[in-house]
Amino acid sequence: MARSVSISAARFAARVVVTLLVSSFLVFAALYLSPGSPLAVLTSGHTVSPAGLHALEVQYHLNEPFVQRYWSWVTAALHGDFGESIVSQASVSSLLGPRVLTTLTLVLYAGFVIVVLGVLTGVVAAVRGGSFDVTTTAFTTVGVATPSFVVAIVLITVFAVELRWFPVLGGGTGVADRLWHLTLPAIALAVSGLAYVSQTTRTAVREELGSEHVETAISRGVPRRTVIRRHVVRNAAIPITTVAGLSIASLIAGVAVVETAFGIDGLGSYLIQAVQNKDFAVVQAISLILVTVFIITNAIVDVVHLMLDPRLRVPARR
Amino acid sequence: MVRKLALPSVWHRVGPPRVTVVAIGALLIALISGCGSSSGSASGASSANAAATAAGLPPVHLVNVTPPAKGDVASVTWDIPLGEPLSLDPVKVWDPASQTVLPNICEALLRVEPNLQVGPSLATSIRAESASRYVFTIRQGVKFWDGHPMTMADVLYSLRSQLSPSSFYAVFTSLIKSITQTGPWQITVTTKVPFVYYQKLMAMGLGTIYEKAYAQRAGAAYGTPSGGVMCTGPFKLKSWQPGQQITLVRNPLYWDKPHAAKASTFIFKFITNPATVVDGLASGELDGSYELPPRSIPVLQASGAGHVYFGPSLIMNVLQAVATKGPVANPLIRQAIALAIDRQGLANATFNGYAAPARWPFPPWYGYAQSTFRAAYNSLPNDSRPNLTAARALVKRAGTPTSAISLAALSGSDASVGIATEAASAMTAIGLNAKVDVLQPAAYTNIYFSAKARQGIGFVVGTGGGTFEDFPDPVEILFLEGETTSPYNLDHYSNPQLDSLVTRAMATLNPATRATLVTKAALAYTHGEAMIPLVSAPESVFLNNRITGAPTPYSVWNLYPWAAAIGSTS
Repeated sequence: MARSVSISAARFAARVVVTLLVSSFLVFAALYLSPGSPLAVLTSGHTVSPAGLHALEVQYHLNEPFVQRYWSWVTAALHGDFGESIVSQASVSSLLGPRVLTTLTLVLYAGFVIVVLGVLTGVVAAVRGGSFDVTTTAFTTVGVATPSFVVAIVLITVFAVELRWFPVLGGGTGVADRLWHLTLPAIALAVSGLAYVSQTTRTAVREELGSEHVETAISRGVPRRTVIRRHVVRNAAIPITTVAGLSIASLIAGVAVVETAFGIDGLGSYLIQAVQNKDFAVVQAISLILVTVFIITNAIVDVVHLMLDPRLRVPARR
Repeated sequence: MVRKLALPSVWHRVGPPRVTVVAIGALLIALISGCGSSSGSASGASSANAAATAAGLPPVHLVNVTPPAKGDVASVTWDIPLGEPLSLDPVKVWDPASQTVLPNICEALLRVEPNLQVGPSLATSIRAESASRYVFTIRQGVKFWDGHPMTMADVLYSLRSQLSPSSFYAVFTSLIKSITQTGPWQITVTTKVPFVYYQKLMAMGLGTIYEKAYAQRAGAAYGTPSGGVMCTGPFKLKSWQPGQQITLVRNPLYWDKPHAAKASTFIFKFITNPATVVDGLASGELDGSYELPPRSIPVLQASGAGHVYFGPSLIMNVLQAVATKGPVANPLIRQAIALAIDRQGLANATFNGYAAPARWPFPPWYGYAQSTFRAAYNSLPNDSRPNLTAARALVKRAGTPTSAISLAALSGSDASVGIATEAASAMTAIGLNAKVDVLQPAAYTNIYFSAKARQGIGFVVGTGGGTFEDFPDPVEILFLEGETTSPYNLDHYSNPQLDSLVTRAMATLNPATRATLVTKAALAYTHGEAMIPLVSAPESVFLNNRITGAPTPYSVWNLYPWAAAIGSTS
């Protein structure tokens, strides 16, 4: 048993490393091939003498062949050195540090909203039925289709500019202030994932409610609350966790849009700027972080499945 | 010089730096009498409005300064729509975001007043002994924020640090022969060729003075969030949190008492997304901003959170020819395009009415000899509506070329894309094959400094413009784009008569004579249509109800301690 766990752990680690290498190569290649040059930012768009341009190209290795540049980046990265931003000439790690915290808080906040509100509304809709069910279905249908940018604009206009309940922009400082600033962004980010989880939960719970073992439990007099908790939700949990995991992982893509809309200085908005400026080191580092988070989220979902479903723990007999 | 960084937003214009020749006579007079006051407001506003009427600008009330502040204010939060400064070291980089912050903390030998005249700052006077020899008298008794006195060693160090051959300013500093101390508080600068506008450079990055000992200690970190700066301005740099904000506090040791800071704390934010900026201003989280997107102006005016003011702008909206061969290289085709464009329609649609058709590619503001320049401007035909018949005739005469003419626009800029679309449809209407290429910022800016990037492109549309001056004088654009040998002359337009006029103007100290030369060159350049004029738009600034006092003109907020003038309305 221990050996099979360590083998799967080793396999998992190997998969992670390969995924990171391949994705970093693809990102680097895509940025390299895209038109433009980071010199545009450095020279702020004005004509510099050919000698000056050449000096900059040498300094930032811009004329070296693609493979050589990628290789120097990989070898440095393996030593923990993610290079410098061409634009601000500060180390990438110092630039990303504060932004990681902001984006992480935002994603976790949105994830919390998705899971808690999504499961709750889905369960209640399935169990209670009736008008609550109809209303929830209506909202979730709209929610799944609405892009986060549209939600962001509506939320800002109503709750920030008109009602002044929440601030318009920024990420805030300090725990309470940060949570207050990130509430509207988290909601904007969470809406479509929340709707999706809510619908899936409702469907899965309804299915369970109609199953034989649940009918048996009810007819045996088990309290309804216990039935729902132990027999219904627990068994519906597998599809729910899959969908919740996917939704949270896809938040990574939506984060850039929401951060830009709310003027939040996080990894997402910084990634957009760095791509436009062709700031290679920054784009690589942020991409690696995002890919890693995605991998970890999927791994957590897999582990939760293992915990929920004992059938998955026993390796298939040949 | 103003550098423009291409970013996706309506505000940005990109182009090479321009410098302007200033009349030494006008400068001396301004120095002796002006003495750094913003007293130009009354006369400035009336001359601005007169210029506005003469220039045909829309009935927008133009002022040089907003109503003066009545008292101090504890804190102001200001937005820089162009994003975060790249550096606060005037040697390393001089991007527009840095230029918004820097003049409030660091000072140069000269400064530009709200009425667009150049006046004294850390130099009390400048005397031109000839067009290649300038003597500066340096102000005594000035202290840096740390209390150390500003000495001649600091001045020489700062000026000479700009002479490095790898400096971004090498195009201009290569013209400087020597910078020497010729008296206890006197510096003499000589240039290799007659170069009257060198003096203007002293109001900008090249003339900024900072503390030698501090800069040497900070080394490469000088001007960065970790290294900071050490200067003499009305505010001092308290902190720079990258990505978040820059915080300034009032400098109690400031030498220029009339220009002392009215705010105790001045915070800069870097919100670039136009919708977020507008929401921030409307909700009061941001107190003010320059460079408002034209479409947002009615929304902001209706919000009740503050006021929008308009001032002179040294930005021009033009189509800049960059192709050296093909249809665009044919003057007949360029003249045809110039006739076909609906300038009034462009002003109404793309600029929401906040713009006026222009007859030549120079901003309608002149720092001297106004009547000479205006007379020349008025002699040009008023092409605010298209003349398709004449345009089609010209296209036929040129042989109706069929190859595609590409218009490069900046992605994310309403103004840039709007201009390109209108120009393309005008060109199609007269029988030319036009297409619009919307480029991402890095690719777009590449056009200005890479010949390879320019291949296949006919015209560049600047974001919100394409041309700007740092000082109100057409010779700046003529020198940088019109002259045959200039590296900024992207389409290799060549007019020997224009070259000789500009060279003579650069050697002429007398303003009236210079104006005659410059006007002749300006008219010749306009006829050549290497830069097709479109519209001129005013600068705009939003101020929350609780603050006032900011100057309005574009270029002043690059070269004048504008933030110090902002205080409370009551």
